[in-house]
Amino acid sequence: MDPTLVTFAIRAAVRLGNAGSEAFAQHARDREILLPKVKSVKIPIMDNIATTFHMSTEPVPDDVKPFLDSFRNRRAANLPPLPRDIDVLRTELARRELIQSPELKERSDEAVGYWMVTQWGSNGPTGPIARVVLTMADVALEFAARDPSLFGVSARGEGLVKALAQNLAELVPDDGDLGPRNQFGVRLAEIFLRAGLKTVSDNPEMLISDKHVLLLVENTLPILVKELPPDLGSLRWRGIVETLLGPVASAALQTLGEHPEAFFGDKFKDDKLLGVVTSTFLTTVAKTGLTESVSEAGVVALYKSALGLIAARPELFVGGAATENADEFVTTVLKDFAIVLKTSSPPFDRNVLVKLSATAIDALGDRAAALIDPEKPWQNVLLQTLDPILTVLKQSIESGNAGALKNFVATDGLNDLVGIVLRQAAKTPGMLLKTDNDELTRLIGVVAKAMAEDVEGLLSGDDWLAIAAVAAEEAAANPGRLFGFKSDSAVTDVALPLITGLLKVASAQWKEHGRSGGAVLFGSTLHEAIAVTLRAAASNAAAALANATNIVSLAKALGDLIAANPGRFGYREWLKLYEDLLPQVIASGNFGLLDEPTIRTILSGGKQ
Amino acid sequence: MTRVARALLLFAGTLVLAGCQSANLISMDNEWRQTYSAMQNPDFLISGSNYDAQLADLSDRAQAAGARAASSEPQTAISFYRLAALAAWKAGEIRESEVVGISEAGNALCSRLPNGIASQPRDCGILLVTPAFALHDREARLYERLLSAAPSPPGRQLTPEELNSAKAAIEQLRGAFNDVAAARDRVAPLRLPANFNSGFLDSNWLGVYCTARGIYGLVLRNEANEQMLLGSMRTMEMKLRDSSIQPTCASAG
Repeated sequence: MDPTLVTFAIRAAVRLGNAGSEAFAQHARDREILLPKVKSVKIPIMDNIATTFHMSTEPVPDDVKPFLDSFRNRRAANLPPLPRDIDVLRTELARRELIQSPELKERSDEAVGYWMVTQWGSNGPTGPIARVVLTMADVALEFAARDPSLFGVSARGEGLVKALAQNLAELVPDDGDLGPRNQFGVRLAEIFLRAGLKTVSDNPEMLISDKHVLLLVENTLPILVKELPPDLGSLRWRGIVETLLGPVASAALQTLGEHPEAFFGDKFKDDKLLGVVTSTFLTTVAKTGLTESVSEAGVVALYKSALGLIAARPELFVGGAATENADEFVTTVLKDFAIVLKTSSPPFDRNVLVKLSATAIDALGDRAAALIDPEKPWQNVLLQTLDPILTVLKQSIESGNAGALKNFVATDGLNDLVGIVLRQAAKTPGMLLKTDNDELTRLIGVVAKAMAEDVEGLLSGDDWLAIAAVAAEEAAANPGRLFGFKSDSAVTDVALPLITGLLKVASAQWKEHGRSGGAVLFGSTLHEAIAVTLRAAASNAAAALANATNIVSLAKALGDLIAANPGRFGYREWLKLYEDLLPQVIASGNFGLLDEPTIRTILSGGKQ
Repeated sequence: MTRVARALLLFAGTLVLAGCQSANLISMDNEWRQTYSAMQNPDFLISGSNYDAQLADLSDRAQAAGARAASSEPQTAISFYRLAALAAWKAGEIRESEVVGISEAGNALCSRLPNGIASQPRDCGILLVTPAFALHDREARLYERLLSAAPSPPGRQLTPEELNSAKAAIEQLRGAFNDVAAARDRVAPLRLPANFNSGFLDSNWLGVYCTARGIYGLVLRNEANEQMLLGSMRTMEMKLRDSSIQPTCASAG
């Protein structure tokens, strides 16, 4: 064997072996290996919070400082932290972390919001603030699904959320986690937001200022939370407030949207007014348990009326603290309403009474021209206006012979009657809130007695309302004439004998002739006849009273004439003849001969 | 036998021996993987600490294999030392005291490679940081003991002895943090897989910071306005941020 060849072979074998071995060794060194982790630790949240704020050089936002101070103080005293403090501080930590991220820095608030709902939503809320936020998020989502514009570009609903967000700490005071006030605050936020979003969604054209909403919220909800009784009575109290808050909030927001100048701006120096009125109303209702006597709708109607009056009559609330005046007004209204309920129910249905009360307040608010007796406490508007009316009506009903009145008071007609009378009275200087409201009482007394005489039911509810309107108008324009001379107690009412006289004629003719027999003095004809009589009598009341019998005779004669000539004459002719002849009868007691030439002349427009 | 034949046999033996060492490394690596995985996900009958002895034994064998391979196959030896160091670290109290010595032996071999640590960047990089991570685990156990004695909330204050231990631990961890930072700087220019840098190096580096931070939170219970260690803590935090690592530490509760 050639030694050179052996040498080459061995070199070749070695080279191959080395390469193979080396490749294998390389593989052994480089193959993937399992790399361990250091022991993981979880830092208790309290320590983590304390460390973060201690180490950070970033200033603590003002709205976070109170919570950080509370946290530190409790830590120093070796007390467990308040859940709401942890909620707020963790949110602040999340915000700081998120703004470190370049992608999220510009939208850190949005990112924090997202963190809050996902963190709290998936892990369960840690404290009351978290619960409020999640509850609000649920409500907002529910409404956003139906009306995306609420949280979209125009963001109509966001003012409500902001107002609640700025009052979160007050809504969930630190009475321990799941304390009664905490739970109540969460519920109030939910109810208010739900009612508010519905109001805004149902009224897309309405604009409500965010600032006004904030003032409303901060002067209503925290007060309600603070006023929650600590004892066992709180359940009932809470139930009432929670039931009423929705519709009341809706009414308040609508006021803000439709008449923002009503409660904010120069008229009122105190922008807290609406909020204070609202919270006083709710707490008073809750305290007195009013909703056990009347419906919630009725109570809300009272609230709306109170707002309406404050808005219409700002001069009643200036001079001194407007909020104190409004507070007193609301409290007095509710107190007086309780008295009205006690004295007038029965016979009046309670829910009718609450409607009447709202009407009474509306009437006073309607016209700013009415002068108020400065010696009388105007806050007692219900006792001054409604109570006398109800007393008179009650006497009529309880006397047993109420006629049409008894049916009337069971309908909305009663509300309309009170409204008509009071609105007229409110327009008339001095007619309201006099020493004993004599004029008002007499007016209603006459109408009530007259209604009692309408046994046949010849006049409908609307007819009586029309008569009452004329009576009120004439009473206002000609005081002390139709409804008694104020300076002469010997002179009785003029209106009542005239009305009852006409009613008797109408009733007799109805019985005698009936519809088919040609009787026309009923319904709108009769009410027009009464109205014409009252107007004519107002300018010459003494003569009208003296000739009341002759006026009635005229009516009878005309009725007989019409009944005898059904083919020629009808109700128009009756009214024309009556209207034309009435002044003569009032003046002289005589209507002359009802012959053919006289009739023809009058009906053709000539004067008699 | 001729002289040539004997030479050939000797040489072949050397070649076989080299292949055996690689096979051994693979086998030990697999053992490490299985044991450590089981330790992380223990059977309900077996607690994690039962694996400490196994890892300690593995570390011992790997270290011996490294010593044997050092002269003939330094790169394979480095791998053995890397394995020995990791196993010693995760064996806990039983063998963590050996981590420094093992790492130094491995680092010495790394420095003698033709391109230094760049010749075997992953294993050499691991050897640079393992002592710091092992120290971390020791201090993390101290932290757990302190938390167990003073749970939060409310979180009672530490006793004077506990306070001193806590402060000393923070100093130790600060040193470990800086060691890792230095190692990071050394391996940064090297070609290493992404999961090594972010998954191992950076995440464990953050872990060192978080444990220091947790212990600092304990100190603050006693000294709400503590300032001496505050600078160190802020420096560590800033260093992480400068390295694009968010200094966020997990909270309990």
